Amino acid sequence: MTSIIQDSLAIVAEKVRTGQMSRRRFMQVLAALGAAGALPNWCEANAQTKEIIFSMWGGDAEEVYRKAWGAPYEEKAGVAIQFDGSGPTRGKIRAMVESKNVTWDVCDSGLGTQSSLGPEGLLEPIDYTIVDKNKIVPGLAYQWGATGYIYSSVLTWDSKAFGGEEPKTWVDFWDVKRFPGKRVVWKYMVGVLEAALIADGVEPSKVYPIDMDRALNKIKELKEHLVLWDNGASSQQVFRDGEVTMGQIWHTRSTMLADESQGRFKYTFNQGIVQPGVWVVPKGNPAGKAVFEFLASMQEPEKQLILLKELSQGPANPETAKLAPELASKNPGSPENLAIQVFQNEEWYAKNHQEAEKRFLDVVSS
Amino acid sequence: MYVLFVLPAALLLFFLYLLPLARILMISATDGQGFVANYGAVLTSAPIHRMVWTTVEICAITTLATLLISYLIAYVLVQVSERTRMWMMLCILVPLWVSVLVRAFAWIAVLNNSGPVNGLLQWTGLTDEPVQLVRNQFGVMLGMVHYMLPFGILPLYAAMKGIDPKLISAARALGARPFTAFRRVFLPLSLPGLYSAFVIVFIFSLGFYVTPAILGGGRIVMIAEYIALLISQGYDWGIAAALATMLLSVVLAVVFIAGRFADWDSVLGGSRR
Repeated sequence: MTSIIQDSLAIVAEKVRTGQMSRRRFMQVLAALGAAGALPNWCEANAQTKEIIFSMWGGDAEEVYRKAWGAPYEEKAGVAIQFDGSGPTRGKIRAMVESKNVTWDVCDSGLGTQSSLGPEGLLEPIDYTIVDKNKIVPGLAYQWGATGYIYSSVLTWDSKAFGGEEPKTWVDFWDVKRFPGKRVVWKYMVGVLEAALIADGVEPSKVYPIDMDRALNKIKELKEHLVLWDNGASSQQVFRDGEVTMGQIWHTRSTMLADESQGRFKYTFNQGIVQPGVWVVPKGNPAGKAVFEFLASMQEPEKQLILLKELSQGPANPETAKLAPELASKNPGSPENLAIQVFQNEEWYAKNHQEAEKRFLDVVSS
Repeated sequence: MYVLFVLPAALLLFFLYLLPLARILMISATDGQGFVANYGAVLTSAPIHRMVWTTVEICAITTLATLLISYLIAYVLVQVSERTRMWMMLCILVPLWVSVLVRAFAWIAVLNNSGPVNGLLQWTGLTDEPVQLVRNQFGVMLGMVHYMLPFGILPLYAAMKGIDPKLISAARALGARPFTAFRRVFLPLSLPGLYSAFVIVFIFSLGFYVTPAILGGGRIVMIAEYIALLISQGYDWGIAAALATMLLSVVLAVVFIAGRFADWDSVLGGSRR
C-alpha cells in the first residue's frame, strides 16, 4: 500500500528532474511536507531526544529528503531526523507495537490506519495540548491521528475518448456504452465503494453507512472494465499510455495529468471522495512526546501553502487557504469544492475498513 | 574436520532460514483464533479457494507451455553447431539478468492497446479493435512463461546432452523411422531432465508475485500476493501463515514425489557417467 505523501515526494522529485522546479523551491516543499521548520524551543524542551524516526514511503525522494532536510536539521537542533522509507503499512505498525520493538516516531498514513489501529491500543493518542486543534479543519483532528493535508479521489478522464461528451458523475463512470474503455481504480478500495453506491442511485450525502453488498454488486457490473492502480505514478501512467479512458485517482495526480497534457486529461471534484492525510504515532515510540512538537510545526500555514501551490494538496489548516485565494479551485478542501464532494466517514472505516478491503479484492479478482 | 567447513553455512541457514520458518509455523498455530481456526479458514474460505484455483490454473498452463517450448529449444540446442549454440545460449541467458519488474513493464509497453503489437494487428487488418493482451490472465501467463524459459531449457539441455547420439543411429540402423527413434529412444532417455525441469518451473511458478501483480492489472491475485496482502495490510496473520505453510507443504511434496524421477546430477552439473 502506498500513500499520498510518498506520491507527493515523487511528484516534486520529478519536477526537479525535469526542471519545472528549482532546487531551492524543492527544499521548501520538502520542508513543508515534513514540517521541517526550525523550532527554537524544541530542542530545549526535549534535551534528551537525539533523533526522531520518520516513517514514510521511500522511493527516489527518500535519499534527497534525507540530504536536503535531515542533515541541516541535525546541525541546527542537535536532533537527527531519520527517515525510514520502507513504508508504514498497518501490518508493520502492528508487528512493531506488539513485539514492543517500536522504532518509528511518526508514520505517514490515512484514516483507515488511525481508525483501525487506534482503538486496539496500538497508537499513541495525539497530544492536542501541543498539536493545535484550531489549526486543523473542524472534525479532522482525530484521537489517534492529526490531519496534515487533504486529498481526494476524483473522476478523471481522457477528453479525446468520448467524442466531446464529458462524464460528470459516477453514474457516467459506470456507463460503458456512452463512455467506452477501461477504468482505473485504487486497488485498496477507499473511494470505490462510495462511487459504486452513488452510481447505483444513492444520494452522495447518504452514502454512509455503506451497504457493502449493494456496492460490491455494483462493482461486479463494471469488473471486466477495471484495471487497478497501486501507486500514484502508475495511476498516471495508464492514462498516458492510453490504457484507460477514465479513472478514480488522487486529485494530485489528476492535476498533473491535466497540466502535462494541456487539458486533454480532465478531472472534476464533483462527487470526489475526500480523505484526510493523517499522521499517527505508534504506541511507545522512542522519542516520546517530543514528536508532537514536530507535528505542531507541520501546521504552519506558510509551509502548507507550498504544498498547495506545488502539489494541490489541500491544507489542513484553514488559515492557509486565505494566503492564496486564487488557488481555491484546485484545493479539494475549499468550501465550494467540499460542498460537492463526499467526506470519508471515520466511524464507518473504523469498523469496516479491513473487511471491505478484503471483500473488494475478492470481487474484482474473482 | 569437514564439519567445520559446513558449519558456517549450516548456522546461517539455521538462524536466518529455519528459525524464522519455525516462527511462521508457530504463528499459523497460535495467532488469531488458533490452529484449527486458521487452517480451517484456509480450507473453507471461498475467496481463498478462488485464489488457489487461479494459482493452480495459471501454474499448470504456464508449466506446460514452458516445458513444451523448452523441450523444443533444448532439442535444437543439442543438434546445432558449437558456434550457433553459443549464440543461442547467450540469448537464453541474458534475460536472466534483466529484473523481473523491468520485463513486466516491457511487456506492458509492447502489448498494451496502443502498443506496437496491437498497432501491427490493426494495420494488417487482422483485427479492428485492439486485442487485450496484457492486464489479464493471458498477460500474466505470457510474462511467466517468458521468465521461466531458461529454467526449463537448461535442465533439459543438460539431460539431452548426456544422451549418446549413437543410440539414435543404432535405432535408425535397426529400421526405426525417425519419429519412432525419437519416441522410443530419445524421449524416454530425456525424461529425467523433463522431470527436473518440471519441478523447477512448477515450484517457481507457484510463488510468482511481481509478474501477476503488474501484468494482471491488479485483478489476477495469486497465492503469494494474497499472503503478502494479508500480512502487510494486517488483516489476518494466522491465516496468512497457515496459507504459507500449506503452500510450503505442497512445494515439498512436489519436490519429493516428482523429484524422485528427476535427474539432479546433470542439472547440478555433476555426471553419473
